Amino acid sequence: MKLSPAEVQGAFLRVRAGGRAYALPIGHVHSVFRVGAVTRVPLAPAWLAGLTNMRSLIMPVVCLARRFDPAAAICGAGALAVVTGLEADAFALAVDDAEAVIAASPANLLDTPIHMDFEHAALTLGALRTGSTIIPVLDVPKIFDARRPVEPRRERPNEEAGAEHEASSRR
Amino acid sequence: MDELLRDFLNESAEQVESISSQLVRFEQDPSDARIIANIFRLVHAIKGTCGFLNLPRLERVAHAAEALVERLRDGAAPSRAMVSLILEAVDRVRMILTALGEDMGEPPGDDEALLRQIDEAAGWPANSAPPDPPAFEGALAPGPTPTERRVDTVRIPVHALERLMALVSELVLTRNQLVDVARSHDIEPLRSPLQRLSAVAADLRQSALAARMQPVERLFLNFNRLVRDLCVELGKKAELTIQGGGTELDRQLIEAIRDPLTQMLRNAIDHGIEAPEARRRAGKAETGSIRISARHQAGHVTIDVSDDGRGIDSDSIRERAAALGLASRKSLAALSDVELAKFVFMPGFTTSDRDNGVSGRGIGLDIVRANIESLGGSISLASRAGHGVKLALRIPLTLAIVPALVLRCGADVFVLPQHAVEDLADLGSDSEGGIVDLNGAKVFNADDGAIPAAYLGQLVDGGPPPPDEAAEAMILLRMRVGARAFAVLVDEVVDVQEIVLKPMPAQLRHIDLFSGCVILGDGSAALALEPAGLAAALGLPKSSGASVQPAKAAEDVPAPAKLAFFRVGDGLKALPLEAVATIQPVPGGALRVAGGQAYIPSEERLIPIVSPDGAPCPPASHADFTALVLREGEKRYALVADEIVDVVDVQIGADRSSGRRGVLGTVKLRGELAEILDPFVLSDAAFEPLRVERREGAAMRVLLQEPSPVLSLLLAQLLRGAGYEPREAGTIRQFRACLANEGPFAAILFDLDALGPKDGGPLRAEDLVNASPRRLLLGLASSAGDAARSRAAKAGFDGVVEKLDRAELLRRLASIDAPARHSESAA
Repeated sequence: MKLSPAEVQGAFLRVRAGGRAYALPIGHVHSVFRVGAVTRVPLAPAWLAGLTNMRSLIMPVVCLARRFDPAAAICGAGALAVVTGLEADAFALAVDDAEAVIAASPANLLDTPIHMDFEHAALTLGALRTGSTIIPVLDVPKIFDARRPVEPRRERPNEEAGAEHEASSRR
Repeated sequence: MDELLRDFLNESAEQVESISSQLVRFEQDPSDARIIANIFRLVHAIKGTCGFLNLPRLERVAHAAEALVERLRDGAAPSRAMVSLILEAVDRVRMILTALGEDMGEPPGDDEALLRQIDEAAGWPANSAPPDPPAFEGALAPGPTPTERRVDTVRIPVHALERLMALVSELVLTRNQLVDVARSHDIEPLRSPLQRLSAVAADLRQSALAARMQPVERLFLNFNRLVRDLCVELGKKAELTIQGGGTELDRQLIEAIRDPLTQMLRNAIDHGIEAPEARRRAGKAETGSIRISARHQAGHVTIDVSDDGRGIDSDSIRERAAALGLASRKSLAALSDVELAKFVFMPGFTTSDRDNGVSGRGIGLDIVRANIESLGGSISLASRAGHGVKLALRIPLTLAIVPALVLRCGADVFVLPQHAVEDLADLGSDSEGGIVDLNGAKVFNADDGAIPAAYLGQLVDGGPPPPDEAAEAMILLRMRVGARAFAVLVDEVVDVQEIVLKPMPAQLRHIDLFSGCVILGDGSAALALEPAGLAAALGLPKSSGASVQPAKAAEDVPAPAKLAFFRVGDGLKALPLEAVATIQPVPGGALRVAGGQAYIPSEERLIPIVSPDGAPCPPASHADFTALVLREGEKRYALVADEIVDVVDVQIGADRSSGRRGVLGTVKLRGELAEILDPFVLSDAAFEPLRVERREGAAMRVLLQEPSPVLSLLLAQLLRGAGYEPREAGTIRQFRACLANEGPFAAILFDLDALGPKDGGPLRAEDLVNASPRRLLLGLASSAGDAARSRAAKAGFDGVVEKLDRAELLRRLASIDAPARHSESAA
């Protein structure tokens, strides 16, 4: 389990993107806003929708659905986005919907399944059992990490990992 | 307590700077009692606070300095040694303050030696504490008291000012949106309040900007000390005059120009100002004068640094430029003083032989120029030998807001700071010059050379090239990185806006095409292009300035090609002069047409006419025209030219081949790009194409010494096509090197004109004949007349061939394979 004690005790924001649910540790969520006009950034990863002006701060917008599924449509103006990260590292994570804040108990927090796709596992802290489903807890700073610049424009085919999420949430 | 200490450190840092510069002024003008009174007050203020904050080491040094200053205030003559000692004490104070700022505590250290020196200078017995100077009395009168000073200034962290600027920008954007809404809905009652809002917003923006401004004097005053110290070090005398110190400049810029200005002053004292003795001999005052002045000028600040020293001698620039191989002596001789001055800004350029640690290693002014240009400024130099040098800096008022072009390229919008653009051309309306496509690589045909160009969309994204018809309506932006010029093409320049450049998000900083991002007037985000990144994407090597090549030996410089330039339709064309027999006017009515081919009648034959693209052509009209009659051996054929432009020697670079049939390459004539036509292709169009039989067997190596790069290329292509392996040696040096290192060759083709004694006789015939085993030594001549034949025979050549007589040349070479045939001896 990669979750810190604070995260284990804390709450999570449940968001939905590309038809899947994800949990974001609430400490990483600064605000939620509607994305305005988006400016494309050449040579940036395909899942970066672009830059937007959020109250005079220029914010990169990462499309969460596309981050996990290269076949997903890229989001644009009007999308709902969660602001995360601080100052120069801040970015907006565009989602379809921010559903609820869930309080978690340590008993509901599970390890990342060891057979999860390597790249997806790198973006995942663990799993959260909520009611009848289990949803991945995202390692939010890793989703758009300045210390690990992403190779520009590397598209990969959709692998089985996404299906695993589905399978686990149906369990 | 920390807060108090921090305030003290901030304030003292300014006071220390002020003490140094005022002390130097006092040394120059001891009669001004207000200066020394001011110094005393500043030193006393530092000392006083030290006691309060419990900083004993600082207090002791400040106390000693104060006592010495007091002696001066009381009328002691300010000797150089005394002033130096106070300056040393001030430096010690500065050092302790710096350490305090880092560690929040006094650094350990021993000041005894310094204190003893001060005591001796002040006339107190060593190790006895100087008497406490009476505080203030009288010294206070001229300046404001510290309490008064604190009332009207507040220290604000820089980031608070920056946040203020960002908010003001946001306010301006919101106002713009409101104005749009009011306009589109025609809401009359809003009009007047909106106008007021606009005025207030504009005023607020101006005020926020003004808060970032500081007078340049803050920087200039430090230079008093610099000039003094350098003069002491170098044994020179100079006085610094400051003008326009009140001129205000963005504080960020003030810091940014500190180093360039320091280097300029060092240069002035080290190279400019002469030693006192030399100045006397030259009829000048012993003390040199250095002037630094600042003034506002059209949205910029101009800072001049001038001296009345020895100036820069144009001849020594010429000498140095020639030695570094930057230009030929002939072209240097033709340059004006203003043009010559530009060499001084090139990397590695110095006219001084010394490296004394002050300046003179030739790494000064190029860095100064690079620094100033990176701020969006420029620098120029004017000099008169014996009278001094004036360097002029032109820098923008602020870095916070820069004018920028808003560009559209496909669906993307980018901004480019205006100072990065050297020139802007509308290709749609500009008939002068234009974009030339060389095998997919775009080249802009500029006045000063062919510069690489690319469509912005392709550069930033590897996107598709624009359709050709779109290219004509594009805008070309010419930029420069270091000494390399390049151009990008965009669809449209949408607007010019004042932008506030923000840093790229951390995760995207590795993309070096962009220098930052901005919020445009409509509230959308846009990326700012980085010229250096664009140049790199274009494939230009990273370089900070013009490269300095080693000088070339005279005999290694390739000869120019003699070309005849003429115009056909819109295009400028060129042909090697060796291919031209005559240029003659032809009356339209004299043309003869037979079998779809037009001919010019001449005395003994009909000369066929070809078009520049190598097709046989009957001229469309029967008007009079000019014909270029061309020759190949005995054959004659003609091209119709609208105008014969010129016949000139042109230096052509190594990269000549265009890859297009019928075109040998491109060359510039007075800024216009011309195609060099292949005379062999034209000849083949006029007659039956020459049948070149490829020889069988192992490749036969032929050494080809032909100085004209165009002819050398033509002949080498011919030989290669015929199955030989030509080795081109344009210069005598290359020829010698080939003979020595790459021999033996089956045949040597040698330009007869390169034989001595002409042009100093770089090569004697005997050298050549005895040089290397070979089976055929042929002379190449422009015309294989009797004179050439006899010359070749005397020199021991096996024969002579006209340079462009393909059939004869190939026949001679083929004779090597047929040893039964006796090689002709030259008649």
